[in-house]
Amino acid sequence: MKALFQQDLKVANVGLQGFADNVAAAGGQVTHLSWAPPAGADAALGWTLACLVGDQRIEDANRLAYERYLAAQPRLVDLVLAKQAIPGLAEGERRILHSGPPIAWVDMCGPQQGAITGAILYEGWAQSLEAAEKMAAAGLVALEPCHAHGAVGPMAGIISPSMPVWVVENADRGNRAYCNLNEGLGKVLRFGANSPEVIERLRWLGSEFFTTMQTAIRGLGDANLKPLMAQALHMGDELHNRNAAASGLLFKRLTLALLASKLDSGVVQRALGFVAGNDHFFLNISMAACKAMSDAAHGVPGSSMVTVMARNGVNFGIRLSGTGERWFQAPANPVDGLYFPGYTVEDAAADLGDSAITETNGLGGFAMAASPAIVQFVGGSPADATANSRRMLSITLGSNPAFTLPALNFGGTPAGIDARLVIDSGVLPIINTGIAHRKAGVGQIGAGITTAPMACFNDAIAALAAELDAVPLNKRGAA
Amino acid sequence: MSVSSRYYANLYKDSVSLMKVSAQVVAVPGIETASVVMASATNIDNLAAAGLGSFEVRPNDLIVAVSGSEAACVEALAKADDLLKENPAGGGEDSAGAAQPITSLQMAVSKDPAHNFALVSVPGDYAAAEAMKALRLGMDVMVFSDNVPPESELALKRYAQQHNLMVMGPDCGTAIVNGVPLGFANVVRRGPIGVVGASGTGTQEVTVRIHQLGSGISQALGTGGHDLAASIGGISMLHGLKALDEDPATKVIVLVSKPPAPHVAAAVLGAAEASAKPVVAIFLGADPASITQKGVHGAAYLAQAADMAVALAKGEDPKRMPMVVNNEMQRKIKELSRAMAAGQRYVRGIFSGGTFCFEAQLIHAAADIPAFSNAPTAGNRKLERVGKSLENTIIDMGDDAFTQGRPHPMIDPSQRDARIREEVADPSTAVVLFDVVLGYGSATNPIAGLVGVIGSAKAKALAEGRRVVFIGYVCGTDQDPQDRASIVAALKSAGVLVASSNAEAALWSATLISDRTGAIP
Amino acid sequence: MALQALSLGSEVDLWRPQTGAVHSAFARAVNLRMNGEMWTVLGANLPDTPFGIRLAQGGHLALLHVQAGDLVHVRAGYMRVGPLILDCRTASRWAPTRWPQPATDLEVRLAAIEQVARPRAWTGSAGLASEVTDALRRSDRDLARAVCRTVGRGPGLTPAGDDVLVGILAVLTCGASGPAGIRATARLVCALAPVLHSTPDVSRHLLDQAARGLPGRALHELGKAVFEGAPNDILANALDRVLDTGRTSGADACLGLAAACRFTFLTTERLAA
Repeated sequence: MKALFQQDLKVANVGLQGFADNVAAAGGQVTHLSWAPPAGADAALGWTLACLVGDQRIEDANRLAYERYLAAQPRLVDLVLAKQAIPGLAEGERRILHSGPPIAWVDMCGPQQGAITGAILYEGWAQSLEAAEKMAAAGLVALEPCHAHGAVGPMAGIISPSMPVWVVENADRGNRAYCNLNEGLGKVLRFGANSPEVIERLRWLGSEFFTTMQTAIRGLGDANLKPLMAQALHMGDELHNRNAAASGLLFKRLTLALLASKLDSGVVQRALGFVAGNDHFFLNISMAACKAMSDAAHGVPGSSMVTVMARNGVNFGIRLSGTGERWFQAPANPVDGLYFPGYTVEDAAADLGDSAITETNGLGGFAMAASPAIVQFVGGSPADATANSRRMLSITLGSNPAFTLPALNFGGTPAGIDARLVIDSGVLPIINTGIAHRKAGVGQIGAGITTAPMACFNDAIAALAAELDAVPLNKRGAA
Repeated sequence: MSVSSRYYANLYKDSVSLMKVSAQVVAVPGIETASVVMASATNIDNLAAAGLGSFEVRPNDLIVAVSGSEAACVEALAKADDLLKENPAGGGEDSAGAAQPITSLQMAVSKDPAHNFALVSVPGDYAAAEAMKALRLGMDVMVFSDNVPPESELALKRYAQQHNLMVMGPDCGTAIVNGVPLGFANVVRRGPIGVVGASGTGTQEVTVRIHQLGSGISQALGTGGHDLAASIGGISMLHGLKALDEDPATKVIVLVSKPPAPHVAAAVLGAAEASAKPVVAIFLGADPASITQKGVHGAAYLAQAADMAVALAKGEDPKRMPMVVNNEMQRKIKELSRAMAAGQRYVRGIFSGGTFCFEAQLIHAAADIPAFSNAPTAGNRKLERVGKSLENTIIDMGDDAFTQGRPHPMIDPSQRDARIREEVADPSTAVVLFDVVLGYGSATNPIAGLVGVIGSAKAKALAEGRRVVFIGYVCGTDQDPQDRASIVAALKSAGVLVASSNAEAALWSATLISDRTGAIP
Repeated sequence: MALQALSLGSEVDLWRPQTGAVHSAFARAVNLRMNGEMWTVLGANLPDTPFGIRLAQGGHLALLHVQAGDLVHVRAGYMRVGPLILDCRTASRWAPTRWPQPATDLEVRLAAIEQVARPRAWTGSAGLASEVTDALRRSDRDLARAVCRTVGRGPGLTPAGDDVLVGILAVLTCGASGPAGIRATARLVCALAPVLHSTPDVSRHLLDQAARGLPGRALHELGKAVFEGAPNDILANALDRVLDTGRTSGADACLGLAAACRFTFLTTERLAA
């Protein structure tokens, strides 16, 4: 028997509002959609997407991927030199990792080129910046995404063999993720600065600071990161643009570990002084933890869950759990924000860095409700910050109960972006981001909010569909 | 003369909203042409053809293009800007307290899984995808949109079939489900008769008549205009028939359509015969005798199908009575014919309902009166220049030929009114035959302009020595949002002969034209 | 109000659209009438059932907003229960699995369970358990009489006698009981049919589910632990989970389970074919 006849009709009206008004006037129940053509108005792709809705292969795959993501338990287990942890950077390899999707040297933005040049110098592969540049341009150093090696890096995201990297291990599945050290603000490598003082700092970070921190990490009482991050979320951090609380919580643990060690007090003082002076110290650990959680969800065939969002200062790239190592790239969207005095949008680099791995995991812009300060950069209010977090719920598979947001009635942060939902609803993942100067070495010139470009999700879904073989008929092109 | 334009990125507005804005922008003094459209490939071509310039194709974006005096263009663009920024829901999306807009069917279901029905009226390019999503989310769906590729329609209906869901459409204008009028539909009392119709106005005529006879409708399901083609095979009609067959509230079933492809007709009639309930079937244009078999009653015209269904619902014998013109009306018709000028000999049927136009042609053809039409029945000829009537002409003004970039006559009858005025001015016109369709979706005041047009055109013709006869039919019930009684009264006061069904109106017209033909050597 | 579901029972299909109504609502569980089946929305701390929808933390507070008679709608992985919207898209699934053949010293473990369960069960439950399993060895008429005396007997929303039968059926349908178990189940179902009307709805459904080999997770895992010969602490935990159910329900079921285990695996008499 047709079940519909026994139920109260509740209509979802897609199209002309008059039809909805009439149903309501006639006493019926109706919801009128604020509809716009999905998938960037590509009718053929819209049909492909429609055939993926409710596809049980995708639903099952997403369930598995999401389960693995929720079960992940990132632990800060070590600090080692990159060459010791990442095979691609082992002794004898001339390779440098960068943020974002793959990109050729000639296409890279200023900060990224500046940072690479600085790193070549740091490694001692060249003796001058000019020589280093020539080396990079000549292809004598392999340049690959951090993500291709299980790592992430903020801004230019440069990891070279002699740099220390955090080692975060997912206790649930054993996978590991790596991230470099945060150098602080101002003239730093990740903004493309490569002056002698930058290199000098890198050398200190790679020697005295490194050995001190390594002792601390290995002596940490509690290495679990999720509870620390959850606590920080309740203290005003969102763990992408605001990391002060988490950095403070970590500082407590590091101090105790170092006090218990046999290290010289001057060494300890310098190390702790460096950490204390950098409110973004935890960012790099947050990113590695997020990378470890995302990687746990990656590699489930048929899953439309987004496991990577990253930018290289030119393009924005994403990956889906179900499409393996493929990148789906598009030019990065502009950043809506405020500039520090003296700077304008003309000075800005395009969106840059692997730090969108935080949003990929429900933090950063997705946890904006926890840390509303950023909305001031776009003329908004704390209520807008909460609304932004809430809106992300419409494009995620669920919310992460480990990361609760008081402003959402202690509901979990929206987590597990389903690419199908992005292109169907038109709601783009929102990212809290700093803005770098487009010239190497100047540093941060503003902050604000941006979104991931629709085209990435369009391409990703098209690819997933092709692999699923889900489409029942030949697509018709838009008239 | 200047041409000016502006793009609005990522701004989508539906066709009705765009037309409203267009109409206001073009009304700015000093503006020659104005166009407010989505910057799709087709629309960009149209803009170029209209002399508004060449533009980039950006299907996600909206474009306003105007031509006129320089000052007027500035004003027009500003006006467009104001109108486009208006948010009908009230309050911007970024105001803090505002609820998040629901932009997809999935979102609607996630907010309330009680949504069990989707009504889709987006442009044809996107309609199939929306319908497929609705089905996959477990909803029955009505697709008002037309121009959906046949392969997509088949894919939708196959999926629906496998999941015991119904696709009403594409090109389905009318339905009444669980008593709720959907699309262009009338307010009809609930009762024991279920209707499955492949035509919107056909369904409206049958349901309205059933209500007027004191009975009622359990469900009126649409199948869309293409369901009974060979390539689709009547999937939706068969589903609707089965659903009504199993519905305890339905005692009699009516099927309404033009003649299906032969094997589809066989399948439908076979299923109708197998039904435990009596079925009345009208395949407009087919001989009822070819339909009538055990348990299936063939009807010849729409009102007759309703009559037969009501009789069956009462447990009576559904006699198929031939339609006749009663003596009084015969006399009146002769009288009117005699009063006409010698040159008046033709009928001009100006319809807003496609099926009414179709039925009217059939009834004239049965009286040996051939006609031209933009949507001719078999035997009639195609009217090549739709703007100019030729001899007997019966046109459907709801057809694409008349509605490109303009509202449907049921929504805005002003084009229909203007055409009627032209027909009356033509010395060879004897009869103007028209329909007024009421119900949800139709204009609030469908004869606002018509009564005046009839009055003034009539007077003008009279001054030239011609008496033109107006015959009309008002398709509606006493419960419709419009006031049917006063509309009928106003038409009668204006001298219109108001019939009680579309078929009767056509029969009166055919009778009069036959008389004229007989009177003219 | 929107919530997420943690897990769904194997018999709950939220992709097939349907409607139903709330049968009864409690602080930690809400029973739903769904087209002839009974589903239950469970607070996070309750064990899964094949017909259960287990909520995320804090869910049990939300259940207080639900009333008997509220409409239930299921569609596309979502469920609406009165004013609550449950997002079940990523909920994991739980299904009972086959029990292995029982390890040796089954009797020892059964005795241990009975020792803990008996004081917490209804006083008449032990007697009913042996009455029914004895009757399974005799004629259909004897069985009918025993069942008649058991269904609806004793206190509780689910009467103690019903809980005993649930325990018995969990064993008979566990797969390891083989064809004899299948036959005994069929006879028991026949005997139950005429008297099911005399017990409350919720209990009737639980009996029906148990007869179809779909008991709740707590009882299922206890049985498995017993059969696998699991170490004592695991067995004790499993037993505690069952005993937590209701005031006497869990204990009553344990007695039924023990009696049925003896009947199926420890008797030397063979059942008539």
